[in-house]
Amino acid sequence: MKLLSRELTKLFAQKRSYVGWAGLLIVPLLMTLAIYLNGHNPHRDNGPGGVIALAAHNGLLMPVAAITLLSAFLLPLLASMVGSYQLAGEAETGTIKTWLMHSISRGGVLASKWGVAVIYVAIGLALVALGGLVAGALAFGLHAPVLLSGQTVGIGQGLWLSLLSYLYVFVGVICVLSLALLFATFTNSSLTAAIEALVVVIVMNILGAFSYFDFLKPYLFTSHLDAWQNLLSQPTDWHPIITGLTTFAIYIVTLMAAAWYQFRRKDILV
Amino acid sequence: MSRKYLISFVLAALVAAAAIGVAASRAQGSTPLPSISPAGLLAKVAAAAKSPVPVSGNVAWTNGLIPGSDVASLLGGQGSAPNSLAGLAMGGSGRLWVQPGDGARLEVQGNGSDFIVVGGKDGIWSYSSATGTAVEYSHAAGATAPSVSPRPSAAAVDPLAGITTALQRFASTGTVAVTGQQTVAGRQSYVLTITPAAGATTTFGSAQVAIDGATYVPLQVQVFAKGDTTPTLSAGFTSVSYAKNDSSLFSFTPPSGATVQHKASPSMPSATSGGAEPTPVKHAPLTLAQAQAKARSYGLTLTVPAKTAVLPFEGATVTAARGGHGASAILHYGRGFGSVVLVESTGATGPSGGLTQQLAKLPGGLLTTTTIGGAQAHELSTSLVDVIAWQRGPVTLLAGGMVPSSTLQQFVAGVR
Repeated sequence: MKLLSRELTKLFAQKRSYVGWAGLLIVPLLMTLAIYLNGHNPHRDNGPGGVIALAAHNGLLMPVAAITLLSAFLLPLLASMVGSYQLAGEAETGTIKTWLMHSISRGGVLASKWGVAVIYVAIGLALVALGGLVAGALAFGLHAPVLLSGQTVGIGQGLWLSLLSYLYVFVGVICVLSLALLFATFTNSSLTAAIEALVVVIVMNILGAFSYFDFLKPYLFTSHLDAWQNLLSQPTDWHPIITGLTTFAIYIVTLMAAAWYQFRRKDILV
Repeated sequence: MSRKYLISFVLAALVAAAAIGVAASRAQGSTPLPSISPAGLLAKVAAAAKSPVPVSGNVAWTNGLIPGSDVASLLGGQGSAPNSLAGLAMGGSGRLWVQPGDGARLEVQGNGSDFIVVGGKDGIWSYSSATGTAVEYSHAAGATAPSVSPRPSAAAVDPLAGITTALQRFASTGTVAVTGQQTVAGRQSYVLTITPAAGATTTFGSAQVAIDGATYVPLQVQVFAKGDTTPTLSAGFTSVSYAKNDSSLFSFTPPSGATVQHKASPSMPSATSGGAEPTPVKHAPLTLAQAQAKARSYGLTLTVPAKTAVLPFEGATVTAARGGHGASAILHYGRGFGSVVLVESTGATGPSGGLTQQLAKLPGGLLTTTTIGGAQAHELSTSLVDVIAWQRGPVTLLAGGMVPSSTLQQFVAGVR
């Protein structure tokens, strides 16, 4: 806990933390602006459709609309950045050596690094949700939302479903973060680890895009990332959501166990 | 060290849980069912259809009739839901709910959008969240007063009732056998196989219907073209539940902000049962002379095959012009799977005229233009179904059936 609070202090003192958060916050604002202006354009197109089209009538759905755009690239990017920087960044500056000379367990260090990265992503997601909600409310107002399956539910139910969607995406993004942290235990360059993690995510996405590799799909965490959309079709089919969460959990536990194994026996030579 | 053991324990527990899960799902429904005769099974299916139970689950269907199906889905974007009934015919997957007394609901999920079809007390509706369009289907094209036009019954969109009816009808024209048992959607099921009667000239190879051994609900249908080992058409549950669902699932109110359209009911069979065969004849069929006289009174002069035609005449129905459609006649030739249907209608909006327009929209390569008996004809030839459309004066003619192209061309050449 002490380690974690120390890590948090570092997180809030770093400029790059705020750059990432600002990037996340700007997406729902830009999206709202684009949809708003498109709605007032006589030559408007139909837009990307789906959740984003629904959000054009209702600011309440802006947070989930934002997450559909973010979960494809910016969220994995930030997660791999923050995951890799936590360890490899300290190795780059040489501070990790000083750290580990103290009588603290390496497992504890790793856990606090993971914890602070998770908190970073959580704050980022909260910013997206709040930014989307505020911007959406100002532009389109908050109404009882229409789900993808055509039913209209209450505002409370809509917010609850949005929250569940965010929690699901949150767990999915922790997979990317854990992957980056694992790579960071192998290298002393945070950029290398971040790029490695992102490459794995992109390769998984490509494998999932071709029907020939369908047999691999259940085992790729990336192909489960969109399963939260089942929440917006009533009655909810929980099966893909539970499968997704189980897959994420197996990935996170395995990746972190591997990271712990590697970090424990790592020689710190810098 | 203890932490190392803890992690090993957690991993071992996860593997064990996964193994138990797989074993449990395999074990379900593995007890063999008692043997049953084909007639006994058909009787059980008919009895079960009389007192239907709620059925819901995940469904998947494929359409190998048009080789471009895969290409079309690729062009439509990976994982995007269709946004019209026609899009459903290409194959897909989704969720289906059927509830006696309430109606039926089909939901196709795509990436970020859904397409739903609901038939219930509010009539038949489709809704696409991708385009935000709700479409109400009614029998007559009542563009002036859509709310007054008769609403099609919910049974019209119940695919299970359709399959059961088709099963009983096809069973009477072919050879039926119980060819084994198989687990479909986690349920131990009988496999009922229908093959055409010996000597029939048809492209139809067989139809295999998996029937739940406990509830006698058809869970899967596979249609094989002659000589094929992979089904040309297939539709079925991948998971099924017989629990009752909330009635509100079968009602539909267009959400605020949606574009509402009203359309005349499309030919439901092709959309819901994946290209099932000609619409059943409700009235007593007419003789050839009766049909010709009736058609003449509606201003439609029928041209029929010469007596030397390949298939014998079996019956006809004639309908008067209504709601913008021209008068039309449906003539049946031959029996069973090798039968051919000849549709003749006046006006471009008649049933066969409409179909000709649909055919013309198909991508190039699928449709071939030939000259039969001096007239230019369009032919759509697939592994299972062959259709030829041509024009004779004001009358549009369309012949189709599950027969080889050569047989159909010979039939069409005989129509004078």
